[in-house]
Amino acid sequence: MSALERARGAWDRFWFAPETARNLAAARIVLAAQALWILLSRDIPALSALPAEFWTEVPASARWRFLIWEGHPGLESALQALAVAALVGALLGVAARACCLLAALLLYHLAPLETLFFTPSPWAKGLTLPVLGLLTLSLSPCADALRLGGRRSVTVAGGPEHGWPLRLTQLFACQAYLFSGIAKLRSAGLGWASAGNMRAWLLLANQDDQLAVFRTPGLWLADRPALCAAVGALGLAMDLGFIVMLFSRRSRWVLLPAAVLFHAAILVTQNYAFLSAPLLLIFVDWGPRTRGTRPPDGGPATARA
Amino acid sequence: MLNIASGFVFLGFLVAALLAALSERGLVAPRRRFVNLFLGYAVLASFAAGLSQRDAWPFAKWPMAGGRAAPEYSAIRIVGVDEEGVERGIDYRAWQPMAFDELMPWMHRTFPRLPRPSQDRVAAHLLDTAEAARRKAQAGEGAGYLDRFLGPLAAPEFDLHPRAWSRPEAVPPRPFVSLRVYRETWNQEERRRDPSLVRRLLLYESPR
Repeated sequence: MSALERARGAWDRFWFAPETARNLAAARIVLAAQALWILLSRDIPALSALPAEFWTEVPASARWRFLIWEGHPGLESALQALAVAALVGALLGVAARACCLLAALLLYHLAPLETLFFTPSPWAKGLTLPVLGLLTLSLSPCADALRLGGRRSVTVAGGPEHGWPLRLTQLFACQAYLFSGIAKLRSAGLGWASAGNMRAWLLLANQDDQLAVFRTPGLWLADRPALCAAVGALGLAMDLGFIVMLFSRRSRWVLLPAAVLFHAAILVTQNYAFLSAPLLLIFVDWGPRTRGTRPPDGGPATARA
Repeated sequence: MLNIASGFVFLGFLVAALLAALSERGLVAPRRRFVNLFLGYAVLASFAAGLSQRDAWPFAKWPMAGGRAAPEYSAIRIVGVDEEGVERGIDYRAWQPMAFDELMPWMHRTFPRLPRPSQDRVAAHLLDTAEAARRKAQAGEGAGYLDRFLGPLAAPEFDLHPRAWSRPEAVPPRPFVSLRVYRETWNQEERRRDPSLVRRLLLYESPR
């Protein structure tokens, strides 16, 4: 067998391993709920009405990229209302695929509107993964389970067509950690995890009274070099190791709780809220596996798309 | 240039998705080839953004806490000034719908480059926004409004911020008549030893 054939086989085994319809449907619900949470916690259309001075340095290419032109809060409100309706449809599984597609396209437009006067990349604002995930799910039978009016007999079905969309959505989520680790290594090397750099980050995150809510835990930690070094190493290991969950379901028993602790620790020591953290739920196994199928780390797929 | 390239990357993602959708209906075949095309494109585009650390949102580079934290830190602080000339801190929620996390970097980077008449118009808008929030908070209705649907379950900003005006008695009692914009700088280690070691530079004061 040639290397190319082996690679192709590994590709097929990874992407087209069967998955339960319930897990895919759960991802649909989690992504839609996450996006609704963010949208209902913001007033993105109102930003369209900011004075013209705020938009002076926004390049025309960024406006065309997202089809955003300021001064249309009414139109943006209508688009947001449509996005909310689509997300509710996706959440309930009503016309789910069309709703996922519509929501993804509208979020691609709305999310940058929140930050465009400063930056065209709203990566930290919580809507990045819903855009990619909902668009992916729109291509899949994501409402074969957990939908309004769904029959129970259908909810346990599944197969390769339920596998690749879920796995791609999970990959997008893993990349948030992986690329964060890569960013650290590229910019600072392994020294990123040094006690000195950890102390500097902790001081930065805890001494500005406009930013810090929790100050005692971070400053306590900053004054303990050994703990700083341990936290740095663990943080980098979490960033770079999180993607293991994609290949090993067993690792999720350790990595999922570790990730929850990781975000909680960052919240109280650095005052950063990772708004995509609820999406960890897409890694949870929500139901019985399809009869006769195996998980991605359990061997080759038994059916093909 | 990066905006244009990033736009085309997303457009390519949509085209690959469209082909995958058409393959499901048998309009292009075989199905597996077009699903693979979609998967391959998504993997390539997302890893290209992440590994090169060139953002092509929604293919993001996720640069969370990347780099070495600088020993010197700089922050923008906007304060309200009442009719007696007393400076008052402003709750981060007062700027809503703008997020503090975008407004302050914008004030740091772009505001100083604006001509004075434009700065005055921005300041007038911010003064109106802050004063409206102050009145609302003083009436016990909260400083912001983004919790209007979800209440305490509303999503926070990426950076947490203290709620300075959470109690009516903590709200400045007199109306703001102007704003001052300061740049504060400090050395992290020096401030750890003495929290008062902050240098403050007045960047701008709005006309009364």
